[in-house]
Amino acid sequence: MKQFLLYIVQILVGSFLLSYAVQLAADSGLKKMKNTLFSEWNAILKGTIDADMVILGSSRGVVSYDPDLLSAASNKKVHNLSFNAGSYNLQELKYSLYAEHNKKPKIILQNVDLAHFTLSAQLPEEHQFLPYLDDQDLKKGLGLFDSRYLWVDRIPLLKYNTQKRFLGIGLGSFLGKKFKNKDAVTDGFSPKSIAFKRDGHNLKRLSDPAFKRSYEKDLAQMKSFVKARIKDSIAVILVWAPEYKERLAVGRRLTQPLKQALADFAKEQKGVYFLDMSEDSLSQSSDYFYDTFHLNTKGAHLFSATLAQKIKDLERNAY
Amino acid sequence: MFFNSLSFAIFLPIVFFLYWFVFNSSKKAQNTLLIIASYYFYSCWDWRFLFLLVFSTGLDYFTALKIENSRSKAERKTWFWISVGVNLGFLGVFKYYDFFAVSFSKLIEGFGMQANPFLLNLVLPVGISFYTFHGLSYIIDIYKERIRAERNFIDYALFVSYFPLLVAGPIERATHLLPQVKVKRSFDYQQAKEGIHQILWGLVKKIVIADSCAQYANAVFDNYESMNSLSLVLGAVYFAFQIYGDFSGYSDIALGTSKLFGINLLKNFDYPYFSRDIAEFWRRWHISLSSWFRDYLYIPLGGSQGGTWMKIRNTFIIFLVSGFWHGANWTFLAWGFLNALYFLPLLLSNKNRTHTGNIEGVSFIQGMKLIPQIGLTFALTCLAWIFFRARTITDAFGYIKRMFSNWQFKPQYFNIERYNFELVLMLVLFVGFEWFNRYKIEPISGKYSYPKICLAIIVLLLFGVYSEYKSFIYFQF
Repeated sequence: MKQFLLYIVQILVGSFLLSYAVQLAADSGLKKMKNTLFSEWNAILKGTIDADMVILGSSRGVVSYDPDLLSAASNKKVHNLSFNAGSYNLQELKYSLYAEHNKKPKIILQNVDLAHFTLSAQLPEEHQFLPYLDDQDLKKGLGLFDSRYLWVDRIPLLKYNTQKRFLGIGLGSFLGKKFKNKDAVTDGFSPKSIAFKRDGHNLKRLSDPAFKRSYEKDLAQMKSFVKARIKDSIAVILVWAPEYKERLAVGRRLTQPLKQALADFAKEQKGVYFLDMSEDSLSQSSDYFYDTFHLNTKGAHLFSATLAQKIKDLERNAY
Repeated sequence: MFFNSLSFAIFLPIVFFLYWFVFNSSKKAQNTLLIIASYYFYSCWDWRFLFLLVFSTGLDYFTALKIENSRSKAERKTWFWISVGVNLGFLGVFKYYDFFAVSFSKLIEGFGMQANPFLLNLVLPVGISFYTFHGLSYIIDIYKERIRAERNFIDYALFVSYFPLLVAGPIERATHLLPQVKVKRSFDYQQAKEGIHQILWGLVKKIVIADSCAQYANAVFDNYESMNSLSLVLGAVYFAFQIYGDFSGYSDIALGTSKLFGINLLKNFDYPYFSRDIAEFWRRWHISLSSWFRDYLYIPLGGSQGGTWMKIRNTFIIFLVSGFWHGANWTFLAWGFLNALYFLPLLLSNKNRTHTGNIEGVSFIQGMKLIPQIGLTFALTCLAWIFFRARTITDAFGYIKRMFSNWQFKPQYFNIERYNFELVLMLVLFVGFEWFNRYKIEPISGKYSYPKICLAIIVLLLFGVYSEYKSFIYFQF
């Protein structure tokens, strides 16, 4: 019996060590991949960003706000913390992790739009967290979305079960293999050079009179987040980035009350500013978009330059 | 409590430690613990059916003694038929009543009459087909005076309800299992080690192979009308591996678990997809059921001793009964019928026992002969599985018709993870691994067993399907 129990221990320890070694190699391979979401999380959790101005937003935040241009114009260190496909609750999570490990920023540029005010129930692009699940704060935050995250890292390799492709990529990277990165991320900014494609299904949904939503609860949540930042002496600039004219037209009945509410909030709350750039001249041409909601690389550069100027003006006049 | 559940992973070590460290003083203590554990295991599904199990056990125990102690042939016969009747009666009520009621009413409606069948809509007690057959084999053996009736109720109850085999077999024989439960078991390191290997390989088959294939097979079978020929062929192949991984995986876990308690169960699978003809397939697939039907139905019916027509009749009877044993649905009967048809040419040409041994070292020329033999057998099996898996006979024929008429071979569903070629590659590796280890009970034992175990655990962690919890297919039978 002793021999058998020893055998069981040997199997468990052996498999654990081997699995752990493979996981460690894959994790470190992913962590060392430059200009990826992994390198972004690396910088956030290592606390090496320390930006003066951070950008928060969802996919529109990721593709529209160029930290380089904003930095050059403002002489401030700027970093884009936007969360692709993540609305305000995920953005807040990412920000809180950022604030935990980095110096607090002076300014937050918060992208706002209809998508921002829709609570995310699921975690998008879950692979980005793979090598960082040993971080207790991240784990706790992700656990709010999926309780699996609270324990999955305790069993080596199990976290790669639904993300096997990234195990291969991580191991490859660990062994020195270079991977093509078509979605390069620089300081959180990942512009897209894609030709315009009309997203008819979204327009149809927006134009349907039956499509109604109340944003009160989500707006209140955002306001409390902003107020908390104001308490931390951080100025918050709410920016509604350009949308293509066709979308503006069909979405007006939904966006108008929201824009008004944001403008009112900015008026009554010191340290909060609202820049509605949704109907900027860029919105007239599809040359600047890859769909009716997202700016392409060209549009992002022009928008960022204009925004930089507006922030400068704001700084001059307001604070 | 499934074998692939967390609760079983907790239950098994607890019973194991109690068995070898607390209840190891005598055979009685060991058997008592196993009975308690088995009844607890069974009650985890539905405690109400525990009464049925205990009643069935008590009935067979009692009638066996009555048969043995009968003073006349007529009395023996009476007790025998009481036991057989009650056992089959339970099976009939729970499993077949609604099927016959609906089929009969449809028949009546076919003659233009109104029928409003009274249905019981009963939940099928898990494992009823298996423990009923346990009991039947015991009663038949007593009646035929092959064995003596068991006097010790605990020993007999353990024979019927021993938890590793309780819900999906293997269908044990009193001659094989009872002698083992009648002696005190002492711990055997080699046996326990083999048990661990078998459990591990069973888990790989179930969680990695069967559950991965199930996702694709379900997608294809549930939407066969929109599938092209390639997807339909792959759907059938994936189902073939799903059911093999599922059932043989279950059997491996059952056999392995039992070895941890020092009890060897009957082998249920012997690499059936390497069979060279259908007769060999049936000697390697669900061996405990095939041999049950052979010994308790085919041979009593005259077996192959009579003329040609008797052989044909008996073959069809056992395959149809075997199909019907799996479930009250015409699809299972069609599956049995098709297998009988496959079997017939071999039987009539006296070639049904051509391939009885293992496939030994294969030369190139032998390989050239083997590949089409194994391939054809596998293809025929897959075709039959379509009936087994389809919801209705119409669906099965629709599936086959579309498979042979669509002639489009563009990959469908292959852009979704798990549905892509990774799964085909996984199956190729799995088949290769089993092929090179086909002489062994499971492929993990032997040379390099330690790295193979580590690899199996890594494969389980990485490729196991944990997102959708899946039961074992044979639990419904």
